[in-house]
Amino acid sequence: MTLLSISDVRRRFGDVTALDGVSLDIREGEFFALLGPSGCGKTTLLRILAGFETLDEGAVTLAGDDLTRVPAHQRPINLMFQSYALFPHLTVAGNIAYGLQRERRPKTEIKQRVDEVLERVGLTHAAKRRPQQLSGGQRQRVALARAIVKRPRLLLLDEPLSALDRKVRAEMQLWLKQLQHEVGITFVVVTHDQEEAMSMADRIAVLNQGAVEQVADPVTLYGSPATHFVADFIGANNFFPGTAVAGGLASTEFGSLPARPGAAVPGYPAILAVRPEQVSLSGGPLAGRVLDVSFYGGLSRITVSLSPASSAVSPSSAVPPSPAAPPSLTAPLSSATPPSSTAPLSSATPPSSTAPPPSATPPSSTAPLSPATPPSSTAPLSSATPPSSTAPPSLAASSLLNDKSEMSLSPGGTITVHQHGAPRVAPGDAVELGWAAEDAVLVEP
Amino acid sequence: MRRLGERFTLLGPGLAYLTALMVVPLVLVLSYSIFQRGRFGGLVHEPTGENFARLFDPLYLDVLVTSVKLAGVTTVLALLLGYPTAYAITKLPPKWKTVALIALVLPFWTNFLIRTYAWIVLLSPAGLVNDALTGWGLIDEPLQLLYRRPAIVAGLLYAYLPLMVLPLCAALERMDDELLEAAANLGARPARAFLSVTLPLSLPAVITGCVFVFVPSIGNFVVPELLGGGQTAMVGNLVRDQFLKARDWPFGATLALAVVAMLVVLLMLQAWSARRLQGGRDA
Repeated sequence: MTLLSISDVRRRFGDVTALDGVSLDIREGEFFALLGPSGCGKTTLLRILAGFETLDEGAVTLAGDDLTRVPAHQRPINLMFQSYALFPHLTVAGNIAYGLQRERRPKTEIKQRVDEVLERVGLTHAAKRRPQQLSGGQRQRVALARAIVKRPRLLLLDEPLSALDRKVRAEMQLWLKQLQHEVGITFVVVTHDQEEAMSMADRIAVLNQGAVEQVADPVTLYGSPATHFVADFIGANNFFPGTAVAGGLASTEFGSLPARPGAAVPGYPAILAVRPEQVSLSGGPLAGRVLDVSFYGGLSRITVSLSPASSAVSPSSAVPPSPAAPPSLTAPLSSATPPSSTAPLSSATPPSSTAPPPSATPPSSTAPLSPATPPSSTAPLSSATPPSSTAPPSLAASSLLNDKSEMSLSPGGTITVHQHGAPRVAPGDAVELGWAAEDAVLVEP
Repeated sequence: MRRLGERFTLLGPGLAYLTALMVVPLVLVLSYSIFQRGRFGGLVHEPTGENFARLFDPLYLDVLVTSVKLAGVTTVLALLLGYPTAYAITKLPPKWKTVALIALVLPFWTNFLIRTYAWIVLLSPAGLVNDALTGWGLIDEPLQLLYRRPAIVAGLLYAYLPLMVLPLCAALERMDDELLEAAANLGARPARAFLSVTLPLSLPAVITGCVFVFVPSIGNFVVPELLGGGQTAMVGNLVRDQFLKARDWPFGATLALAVVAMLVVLLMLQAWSARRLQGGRDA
């Protein structure tokens, strides 16, 4: 059942459009996340929901009731501030009781409910302390207790974990999720941190420049991003510009690449997104040379400089990798990344600096997607890349979630590959890269 | 011990100045209070408690009480006028905020005596206020505004109102607006949010402002002299008269000591309450 309905909300501040027609439905009892970079409008939306900000156009309804005309102090919505905004002149118990006192509840009821919520957040012993005497994590729990003691229909959390150090974060993340299940209040978390959103939320709305890019559960968002922005913002990705065709992408520079069609329409420009952990280094349509290998404990991160593909029609690994390798074997990373050529279908001629040796396939054969290569035949998924779900959550995994790569790849560009366990290649090795069609997806440019 | 040395290097000049030119004369003058006066003024170095006994003479006690009353009324009025003023100033756009603050301290650049004389012009029977009131037909006869206690309060209030507004401005400026949003979010109407959040958090500044107004008000002798017409003497006038007219230095010193003692107690109360309200570490 829809609890909160946001329809076509617009808000402008002078020349800046903070919200450009945002529509969202948030269900009862859901843990929902508004995710986006700073300046995407998520804070404005949060402030509109709390009643601190007005909207220019659109409607917000809570359980069918129009919220837009209700003043902030009458809304059944509570907010946990990013700064916590605890009252410094009141004790912990006084802070929590504040909202109940405004409802003119009887003293005995206030005391009972404050005690109850203090126990739930594990701060019974600190009831008489002042906020300044508490640690960051404790303050956050007071802020949360103060918000949930009112039993709101909706709880807004503004960057709930951003002020905490790493260790406390993981603890609070788990605890918040548990708490949400226990109290059954609908949570809406606003965050710029994808890890925070992915680990806690049932559904996530990705916002960009005041508009919703995609609303989906974390697994769908990660596995089937709808747009280039989402594919780039959530986790690490490698991008290939081109044209959507049946069975994948036609790239002017790399030939045909296998992928699920996703939201792309055949014949239109599209971008292929493939996760670093889905790329196999043992056979495939692409060739390259390993530039750098770093080991992160459970994972290895391998950077490969791409060569223009010669093997679109011959996916067999029998092709020796050496002729396709770029001449600049010891080239520094900077020279290996050409600044331009990001536009899809720009030109058929690859940048000259990474021009293949004469023995390579002429460019003309790389353009059209050959019907003779069904996606399944390109490369079997290597056993070296087990499904990512089995990976234990580790420091390495979370830091590699933010492993940003180039917005679009061209010959000479670097593709990022994640391998489980210790690296099995070394810098300078010539490798072939590929992936199964179902592991890559076409997104809107 | 190097840090202690550094501290004294920095404190030294100011400390030496204060010690030599204020503490020493003050202690000297106050020490007169235990001696007797000479027949033609001056001092007879024979210890006596007589001066302290005279403090409780109804004649002088009355002056002390009147002084406390007038300074107290001035302080309360300054708070009632100053708080809304300070609140309004902090809500101004930044440019106008600066203008307002400059306007607030601008009178300090003019001589205090001249500003007080201006009040005589305003309040005299043929002054601006009476002229306006008779002109509008509100009164038939000019009111006797000058040389009454309200005139003294008006003068003191005018002189020291900025001392109330400035600390309040500083405190209200520092106030985190998110706390008011939090109060609203928890169900407090704007008026309730003000009473339960803004006001308690600005209380240390309220106390500071009150002390800043009360202390110079109670010791002032120019305003009661000029606007009080010499009829209502405040303790400042009394002290000056003892030294300069009655030539009774020991008693003047005793009166001064009484005022200083009262103010020290007041400042200690202020420091204690400020620490209690701000720190909250003793909770």
